[in-house]
Amino acid sequence: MSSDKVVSVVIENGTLTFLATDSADIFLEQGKTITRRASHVEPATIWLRPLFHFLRLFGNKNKIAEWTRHWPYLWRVNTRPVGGPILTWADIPSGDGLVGVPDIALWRNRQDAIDAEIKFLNEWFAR
Amino acid sequence: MSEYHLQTTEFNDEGCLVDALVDIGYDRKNIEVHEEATQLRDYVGRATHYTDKAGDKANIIIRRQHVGYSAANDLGFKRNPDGTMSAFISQYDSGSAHWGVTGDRFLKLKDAYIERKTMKTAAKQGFKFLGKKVVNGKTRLQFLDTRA
Repeated sequence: MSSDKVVSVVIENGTLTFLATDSADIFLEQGKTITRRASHVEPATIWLRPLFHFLRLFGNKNKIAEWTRHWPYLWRVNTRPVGGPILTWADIPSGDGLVGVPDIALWRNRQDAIDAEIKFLNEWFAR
Repeated sequence: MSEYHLQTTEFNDEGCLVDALVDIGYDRKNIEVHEEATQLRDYVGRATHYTDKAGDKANIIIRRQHVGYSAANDLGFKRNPDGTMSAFISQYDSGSAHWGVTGDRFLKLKDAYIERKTMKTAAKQGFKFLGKKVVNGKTRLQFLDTRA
């Protein structure tokens, strides 16, 4: 089951919270909605990270942003925008396809990191 | 990078609002639904004129004897021209122990309404409902997008 096809929503105190995905967009018209950043999938390499975030200042949908998505490096998931952690092995229900050192979970394939990010955030909002 | 949406409740579906009132404990037979807005009454049965000299009116009404505590006024929801519904709550009933917008009753109604509306929206799009879980006062609903 592809994680972007599973839609989780959390209801609390009259507010609906859900990750921004193509599938979840069906709920946008239900009420007044604001959108916030939940996390970053960013390079694990320390010197690449500032460069990555600097280049993203110019937008997430241009050619430069697209180029950064294909950098052949390891990726990590940073959920600090929602008060969460840099994902560790302990945060990942299934360790399939992961590489890494103790603690921080790393992915060679950025899409795999995004899938893990979505799974984690859906759980995080429900905590 | 992921983003998330925070959506505040906007009552804009009459059916879901009535269902939500039932979900939080009101008997469906005590919920009046009027196509044309109807007069609201105070705790002794007098027509109220708090917001309108011609009389306060609402489309969905729970009469005072069914609201759930003594000395209540009628509770009403009025349909606005843009299709949204506004709660009509008297000053007496606006305390957080009664029907105040930050009180427990109103928040429960909002949560019940969002749940109903979300289920309806998902069903309309053909999503498969995977389950509901309530933890620490948070309700999580999961769906599978079965669209091609």
